[in-house]
Amino acid sequence: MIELLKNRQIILSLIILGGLIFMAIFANVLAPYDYKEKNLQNRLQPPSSEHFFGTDNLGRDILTMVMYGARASLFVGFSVVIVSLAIGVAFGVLAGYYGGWLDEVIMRLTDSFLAFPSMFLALAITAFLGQGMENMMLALIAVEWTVFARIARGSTLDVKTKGYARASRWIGASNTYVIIKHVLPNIISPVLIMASLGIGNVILAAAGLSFLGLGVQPSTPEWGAMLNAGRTYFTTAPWLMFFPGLFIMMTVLAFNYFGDGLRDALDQKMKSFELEGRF
Amino acid sequence: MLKAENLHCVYSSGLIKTVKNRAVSGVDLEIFPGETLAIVGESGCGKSTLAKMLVQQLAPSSGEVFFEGTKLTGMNWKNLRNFMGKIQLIPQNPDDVLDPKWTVERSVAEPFVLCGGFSREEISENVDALFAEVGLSVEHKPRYPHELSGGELQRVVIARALALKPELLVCDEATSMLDVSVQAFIVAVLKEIQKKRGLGLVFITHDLEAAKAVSDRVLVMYAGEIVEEGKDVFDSPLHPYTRALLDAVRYVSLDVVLQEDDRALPDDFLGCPYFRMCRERTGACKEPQKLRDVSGRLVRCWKV
Repeated sequence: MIELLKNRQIILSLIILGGLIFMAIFANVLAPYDYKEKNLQNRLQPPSSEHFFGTDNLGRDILTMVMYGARASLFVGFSVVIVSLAIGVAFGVLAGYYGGWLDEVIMRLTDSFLAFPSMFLALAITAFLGQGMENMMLALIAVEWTVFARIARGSTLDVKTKGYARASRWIGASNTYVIIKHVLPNIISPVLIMASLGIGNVILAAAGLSFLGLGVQPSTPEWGAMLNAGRTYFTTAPWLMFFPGLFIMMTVLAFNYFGDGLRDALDQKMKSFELEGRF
Repeated sequence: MLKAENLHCVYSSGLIKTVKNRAVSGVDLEIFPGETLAIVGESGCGKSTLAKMLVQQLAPSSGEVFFEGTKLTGMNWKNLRNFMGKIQLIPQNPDDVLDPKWTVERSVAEPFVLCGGFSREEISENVDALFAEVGLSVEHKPRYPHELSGGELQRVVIARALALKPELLVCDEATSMLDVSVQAFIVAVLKEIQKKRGLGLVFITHDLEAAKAVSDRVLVMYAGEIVEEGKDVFDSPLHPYTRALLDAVRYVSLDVVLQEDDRALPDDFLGCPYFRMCRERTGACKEPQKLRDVSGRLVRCWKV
């Protein structure tokens, strides 16, 4: 863990992410206004000392909305990745560990999901299920789990060839024991790297879907939806799109940075690294 | 103690498993309690395949393995588990046994945990005793495999193998990855343990010096078959292959460099496996050869 903090990429991204998460959690304390507060007299105000990020077409404070928007974006990002990770790792480990027909079935299933461009698949699912945050998250999970299934399967195969998993079997361990005690701890680092990169992707995809009007309703503050709402005023009031866009970019960048840093730290120093029980 | 009868192993490969590769064919052997049996032969002669079949990690294509009269081959996993502790394999590469994310202490304790019925204190005592037995100190216990040297790792592997009180240790090139001085040390550790515990030892190696030093009996393999078996094989080799093998060690000359291409024999060839390479071959060598008893030595060559 201390080793991780020596990585400059990780520190920088952790500072940004920490700030964003802090902002999201304490939005109700930090935000200067109420996000529902409409003030039509103040509509489309440029950034000023009263409204740092300006106001939107309904006179709502953009800084406030960006802060509350972080809640929705981060919530979607984390929960989609956590659920996808659980599903993907479960399927991937089973496929890799047991092999045979189970492997074939699971891998052909992931192939069929991967056969479509991910955004298209998510679009199709949300269009089918109807718009709304829950449906958007379902669509994103359907896209995201395959990534984890692939990674988990590959790493599990790697562990299997190393032999220590088999060595436990030979002294009487059950398959469940081997999977929990040997396979999972050894595949978790590539999976975590993918997860940290995945959060950024999911936030971006969620913003994209919201921008297209398929995700979060415009009344709830969400960065993608804000972009969508600000579209009409882009030439006259660009701050409507600039600030949510900036925050999406920062968040995605920070998660990607974190993932990259994590990969560098884990890959190179794998050998001299004591990961057990650290995550 | 452990008896193998007519063991065959054929690896099939190719799209419809048409490419057959005879790794081991028709091996009979018996290991007696407290005895050290060395199995020698060049790379690819089927030593490791034989070892895996002996410890039941690999199901033979045909043939049977008995442990103290009980047939192990074909036994289901549940029943086989009771025997797994009795026969332990020490592989060439410690990676095959030790989980890189586990401390070596935890790895050595694993057999006790899996076995059940041990309290925390008992496990810890047993692990300490095993560490002492293989000559490792307490300070090695909390380390991870990457923090130990090859020799230390191999000792950890031996300690783990001893946990279930085995009666037979099969060392599959257990010292091949180590340098010479450490090799000698590991062999000494193994012999010491054997003396103390009275267990049988199968020592698979291509290091003839080591084989000679430790073994009571030697078994020479070539192309998946036993060509010679007995005591003092190295002092008075009878089979032409054994002689060539010893010569190859004594003087490295181009004459005895064994070429891969020349070894390949047609699948239906039933004669002496050493036929292509043998300088003393005659037409009669194309006939199937049986292991013959020549004054207490088993030799697969009609000429001796």
